[in-house]
Amino acid sequence: MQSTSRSALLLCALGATPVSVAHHSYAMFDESGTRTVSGTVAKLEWKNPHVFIWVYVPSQATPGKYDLWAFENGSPSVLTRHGWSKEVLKAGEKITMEYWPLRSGSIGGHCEKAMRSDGQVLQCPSDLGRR
Amino acid sequence: MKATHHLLAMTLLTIVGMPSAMAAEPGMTYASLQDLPDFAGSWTPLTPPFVLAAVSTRPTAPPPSTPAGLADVTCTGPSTLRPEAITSCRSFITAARAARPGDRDYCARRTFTGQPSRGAGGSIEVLLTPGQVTLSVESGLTRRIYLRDRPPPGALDESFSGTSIGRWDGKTLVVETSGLDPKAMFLPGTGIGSQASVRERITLKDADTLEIESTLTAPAILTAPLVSRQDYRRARDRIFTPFDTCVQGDRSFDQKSGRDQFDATPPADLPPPPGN
Repeated sequence: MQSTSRSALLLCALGATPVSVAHHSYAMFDESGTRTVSGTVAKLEWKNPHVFIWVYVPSQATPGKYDLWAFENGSPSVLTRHGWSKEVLKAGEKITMEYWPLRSGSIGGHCEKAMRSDGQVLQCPSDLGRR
Repeated sequence: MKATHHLLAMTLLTIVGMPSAMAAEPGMTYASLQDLPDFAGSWTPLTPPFVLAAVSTRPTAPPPSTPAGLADVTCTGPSTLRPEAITSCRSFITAARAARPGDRDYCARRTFTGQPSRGAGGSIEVLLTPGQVTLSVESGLTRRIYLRDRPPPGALDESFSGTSIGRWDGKTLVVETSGLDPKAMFLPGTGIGSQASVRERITLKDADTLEIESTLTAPAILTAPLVSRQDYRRARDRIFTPFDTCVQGDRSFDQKSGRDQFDATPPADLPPPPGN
């Protein structure tokens, strides 16, 4: 937790503690190493408490086929504050995802950034704490 | 017959006269709503700056691995927090860590009147109707603020919303809330206690910024009232969806086992892969 955020937290002080705020732990994600993967948006699943981004990624194991990757993201409320909307990503558009991988080794992870082909970067909430 | 008519006329006069007196107050008629600040609609919290991400997703140090370590970072609060509240929190954390996940109440409501909205699930909708302001918090709390001098009869049951009485002070809506459930969670395992109350001042700072200043008085856990401020940005096009710790279809949390999960079951309506 960054010091500025903690100060804000303590000033507000009403239940804004790690346990009460966190919807779930993030132990399933390996936050120590950001990875990147490119593919085609299958769907932006806009729902609480987590928006999910589904991406078709060319399969390394089966050339010519695609794997379906899932990326967890923040809530609609949080994402809206950071420029996201339900329509910001369209099925079929190319995208590069920066993410924290799943410790289980499964494909997918937690979104850090979504980078569109036109250069626009959509920040995922998980990355904001480092700014 | 004449007497009957007279009685009827007096009764009608009384009935009509009462609302007329009340109607003089702002917010009591549809017509008077036009003169009030434009609170109506959806709002998303602006401050504090992204508490959720910093807390839950990007720790600068690994999360504490021991119950005592977790209690150290969790059971904190303002300097006016009573020591016994911290003790209660620490006991809860220790016990909760020792319990099996399925033993914990993951569906416990965590929002109460006077608690600043957080990033996720903290958006609000405001509805202005004659005699009442309704404030719906995305995470599930519905607040009904009655524009009157005293609580309506029968409205004093304790709840996480409490009983809210409001009045317009110029362009500011001043809300006094009592009847809060002592179990409303201030810290994990630590309720706000009895005799808690909240005073709020809700103001439109500009056309698209709403400020809620909240003063929580909770003598059981705080030695002095705690003031917090939360700004909201107008979000006219926001579509609200359910949000809770037990929301249906949560891919990251298994309600039955109480364990985290990453449910990668594809949505049913995905388009085919490229080139197919």
